[in-house]
Amino acid sequence: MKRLHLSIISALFAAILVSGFTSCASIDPFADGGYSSEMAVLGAITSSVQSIEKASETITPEEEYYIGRSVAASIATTYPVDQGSYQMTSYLNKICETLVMNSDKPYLYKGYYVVILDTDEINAMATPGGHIFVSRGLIDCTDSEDALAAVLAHEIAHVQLGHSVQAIKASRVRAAVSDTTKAVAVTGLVAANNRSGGLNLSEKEMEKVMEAVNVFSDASNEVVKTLVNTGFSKEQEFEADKNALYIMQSAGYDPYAMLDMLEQLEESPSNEGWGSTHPSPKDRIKKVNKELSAMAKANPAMKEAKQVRKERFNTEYEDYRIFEID
Amino acid sequence: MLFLVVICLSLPLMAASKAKTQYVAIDPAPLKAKPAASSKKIGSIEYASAVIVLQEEKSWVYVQLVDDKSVEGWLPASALTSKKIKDKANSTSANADEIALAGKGFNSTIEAVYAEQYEMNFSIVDYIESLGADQDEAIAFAQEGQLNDGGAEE
Repeated sequence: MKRLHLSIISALFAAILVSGFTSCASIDPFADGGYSSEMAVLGAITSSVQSIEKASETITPEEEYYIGRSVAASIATTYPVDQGSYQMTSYLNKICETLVMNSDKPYLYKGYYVVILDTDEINAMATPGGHIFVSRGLIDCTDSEDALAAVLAHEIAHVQLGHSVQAIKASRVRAAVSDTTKAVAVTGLVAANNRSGGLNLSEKEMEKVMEAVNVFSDASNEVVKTLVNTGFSKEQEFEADKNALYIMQSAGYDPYAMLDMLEQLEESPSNEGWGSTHPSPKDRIKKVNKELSAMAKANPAMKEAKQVRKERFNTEYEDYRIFEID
Repeated sequence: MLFLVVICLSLPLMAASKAKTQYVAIDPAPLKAKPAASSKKIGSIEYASAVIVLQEEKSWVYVQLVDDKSVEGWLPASALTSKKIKDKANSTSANADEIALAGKGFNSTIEAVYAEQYEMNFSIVDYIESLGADQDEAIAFAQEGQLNDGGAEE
C-alpha cells in the first residue's frame, strides 16, 4: 500500500509542476512510462459514494490550505528544500508580501510563503495553500528584483485565481459519476491505524477520519489525472501572466520585467518537454506584450526606482551565491 | 435567525438594503482601521465567523461581526465568502459528529492520520510557513525599494 501511495504522491507532485512558471523547466511529467499502469490501479482506489457526494461540495478555504500543505510536503520529498539561504529566502518573502499586500487578495486562509528549492531545474510552483516554491535554477535565470517579482506574481496569480483548486473541484465532481470501490484502500488504512494508534479515537471515529483521509487521497488522484494529462490550460497560464502584470503594477514593480523573464526562459536550453497544452514562452510573450500595451504607461520615476531595486538584488544575489554549496 | 433580524433592524438605513451575511475565510482575519492591507490592525475575526457588510470601497468591505456588534472594521472583500463555512473541527479530540461533518474535508486531524499513513513529513511544511515576511518588514522593504506600501499610514 505504502509504495502505491508514494507513487500517488510523486504523481501528484508531477501534476503540480505543470502549474508552475516553468516553460523552460526540464522536468517532463509525461516521461514516466509506468504512469498509466499505476493510474489504472489508482482508479480502483476511490472512496465511497457517500464520501464523494460530500466531496463534490465546494472546497472550503481551510481545505484548500490543508490540501496545499500536503502538496507542499510532497514537493519537499522530491526536491531538497533550501533551509540555509536565509537572506535570499527572506528577500523573496519580502518581495512576495509586497506584491500581495498591494493586491486584491492580501490574505489567504493562512498566508503566503516562499521557499527555495535547491535544484538546477528552472521551476516555480505554488500550492492552493499559498506555499510558493522557486528553484535555484530559476533564481539564477533572473537579473533583477523586478524579474523575481514577475516570477512570484505569476505564482501568486495562480493561487489567487484558484487554478489548482478548480482542477480539484472539477475532478471531484467527475469522481462522483465514476465506478467506485474503496475496499482495498479502507482495509489497508484500518489495519495501519489499528497498528499505529496515534490518535485517541474510537473505532467509529477512526473510521470517519479514514474516510476523510481516503477522500483526500481521491482528490489527489483526480488532481493527478486532471493536471498531469492536461496541465493548466493555456488560458489559465495566460490569465496568470495577465493578473501578474496588474499585481506587479499595483505594487509599483515594472510589469515589463515579465517580458524580460519570459525572454530569459525562451533562451533557456531546457525549454522543451512540455505537453501540447502548455504555452510556449513565445506565445506568452506575445500575449503579455499585448496586455502591456493596454496598460498605463510607467511612471517616469520607474527607471530610477528600478535601479535602486536592482542594486539591492545584486547584493542579495552575490551573498546567495557565496554561500551556495555546489 | 431571530438574532439576525434584530441586527438588521438595528442597522442604519443605508445598510438595510445591502446587508448580507458573509463568512470569514481567513484564519484569523485581521480587522483594519482603513481599507488597506498595511493599515493599522484594530482586531481580528475568527475563521468561519458570520459578518454583515456595511460598506464597500473598491476591493475592501467594512464589516460587523454578527455575534458581537461592537466588533467592526475593514477586511479585503476576498477574505469573505457567501457560502456558509462549517466551524473547523481542528482538534484531535474532535468527536465523531464533528469529524463526520468534516468528512469531506481536510483538517489537522485528517492531516495527522494522512501523515502517518503516507509517511509524509509535515514539519518541513511548518518550516516553510515560518518563512512568510511580516507586514511591517514588508512595508519598510517596499518603501526602501520605492514600491507601494499597501497604503501604510505615516
